[in-house]
Amino acid sequence: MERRTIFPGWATPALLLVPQMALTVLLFLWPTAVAVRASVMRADPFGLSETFAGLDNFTALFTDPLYLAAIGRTLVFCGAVTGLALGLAVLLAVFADADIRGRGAYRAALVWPYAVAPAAAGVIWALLLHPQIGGVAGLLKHLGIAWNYKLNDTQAMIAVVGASAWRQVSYNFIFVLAGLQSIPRTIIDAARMDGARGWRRFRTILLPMLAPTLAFLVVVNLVYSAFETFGTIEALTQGGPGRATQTLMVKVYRDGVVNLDLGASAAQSVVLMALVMGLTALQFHFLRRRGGR
Amino acid sequence: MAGLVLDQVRKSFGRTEVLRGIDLDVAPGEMVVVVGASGCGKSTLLRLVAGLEQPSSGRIMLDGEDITARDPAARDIAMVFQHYALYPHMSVFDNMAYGLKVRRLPRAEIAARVEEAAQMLHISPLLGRKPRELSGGQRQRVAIGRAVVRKPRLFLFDEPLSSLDARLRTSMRAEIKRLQRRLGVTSLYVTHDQHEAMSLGDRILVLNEGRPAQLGPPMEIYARPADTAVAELIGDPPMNLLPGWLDANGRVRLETGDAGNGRSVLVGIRPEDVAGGRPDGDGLALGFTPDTVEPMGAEVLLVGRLETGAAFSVRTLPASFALGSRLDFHCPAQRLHLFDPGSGQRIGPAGPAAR
Repeated sequence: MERRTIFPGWATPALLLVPQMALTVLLFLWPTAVAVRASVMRADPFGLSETFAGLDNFTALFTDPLYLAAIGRTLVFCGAVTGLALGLAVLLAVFADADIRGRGAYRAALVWPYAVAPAAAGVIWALLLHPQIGGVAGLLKHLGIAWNYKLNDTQAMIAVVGASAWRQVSYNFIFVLAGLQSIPRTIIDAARMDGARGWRRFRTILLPMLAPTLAFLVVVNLVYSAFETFGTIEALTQGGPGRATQTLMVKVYRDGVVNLDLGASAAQSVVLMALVMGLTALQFHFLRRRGGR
Repeated sequence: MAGLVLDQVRKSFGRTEVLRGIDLDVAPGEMVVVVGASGCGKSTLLRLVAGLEQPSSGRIMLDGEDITARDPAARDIAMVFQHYALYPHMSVFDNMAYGLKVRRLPRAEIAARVEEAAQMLHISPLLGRKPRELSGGQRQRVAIGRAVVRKPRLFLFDEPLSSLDARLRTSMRAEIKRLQRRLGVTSLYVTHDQHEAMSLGDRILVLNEGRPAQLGPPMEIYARPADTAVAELIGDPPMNLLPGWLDANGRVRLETGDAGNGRSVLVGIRPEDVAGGRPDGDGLALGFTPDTVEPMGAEVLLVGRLETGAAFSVRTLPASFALGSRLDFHCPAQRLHLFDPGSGQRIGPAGPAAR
């Protein structure tokens, strides 16, 4: 049952709202307003003067081949991270769902990576993948692959995708496993009686019943890969070599904080903000659908 | 031997032995109903035959082939599940067609079979709907249809009517029986409902704690229950079981004191076998004090105590009964059932014959 408490007057309710409102204004609305304002201004490199630039920053942005390339690169990166993290999670969850010995320990082991902080994960992978001292690099050398993600564009992308997906696999695994376990056993039994096995049973019965979970996870993973992988990428490649791993998020940082092109950086932030809002709306949409079932 | 044959089938989960040696022959076209209290292993038995579980030992044969180790897909058996187990994301048509598609039947053949089954089960107008848009009864028809289109060698029913309301249950019961006779498919039907067992089964297998307690036609099981477990399970309201003894002349006495040198027995009396008045000849006199009347429609159930203090119930035609006062009833000798108080096994008499 819902419990409601009605306070008389307006002073008490207002007082109770102040902390939340203050935090929202201070941490979200104000910076957002500053960013939006900066996106329509042109500032000199020393930040001493500003002139109104209208939508010039945005026009410049979308006609800049470097920015368009970053969009394409981000799409590839996000697609790869989402695909890899979800694919692996589904594969692992299907095995964890089976009646196997030691399944409890197996499940626990798969959840661990989620407890590792992103920055720490970045450092761990930086060490593992390090061309000279990394364990993975050494292994690859044994296999005859010249590994140096600091020089090779493709290898750099593989490295950041792998490191970013690694952590997300755990998160996805939990959801997919829960999704699989919420499928009634008798439906799987019915499919067995109908003669469906292996891949066919998975594709025609399990996958459709997992679809709402997967749709939700795709959005979450896209948001994660677009906005939360900055730490991992910065720790591993700083967007390099060249711009090979410079996603939109990394570029905002590069242009604004490092190169001090505040107008362009702010315009990029506003674009990303719009993107986050869109994806969040989508995520809530799927959450509601999951909840409503 | 054709049909379904179970040969000393056993199943343990860990240290718990769920099935302790089941032998069963189901003749081609026959419907055998497995009945028992919950936890007696009847669902496990069905899952073993289906191939969803592997028996710990024993053999399962279908039409003379040993199918014990076969995958469910290779057994040609169709099953109707307790809670329908329809595929929620598929239409009724696709639900029924799924097993045929998996077996790569030609499209035309699949459509024809589904149409035919849908007509038989009166669900033709529903073929385009999703399971969530159907009522419980309709879902059960779809589940049965999914089994029927397969034209399998064996039908398995796992309490298919238990989630329907009482009225629907009765009509679906009749329909399943008709359908099964018409298709002539060998069937194994599991239920905990004795009415379902009695009305559906050509024969009934009563399971008790993983052991077969009795196998036979419904009326024979009703007339001559093999032990007290069967006696309590089959018959509604359940049989009265009273401690008593056989005296030197072979007459049944209810225990009112010392059994003397007689043999102590459990006396089984069905509530419907009791008649009013004092016995003539060798019937058993019952001094009965009813304390409640349960109207059942055509008859009433009197519940109360005997002079011996034992709880007792009588099913009789409606009349005005003086509650709380002693009434004379009796049970004819040939209607008594005697069981061994230790093992619970039936020790006699041979009768009564099936009515």
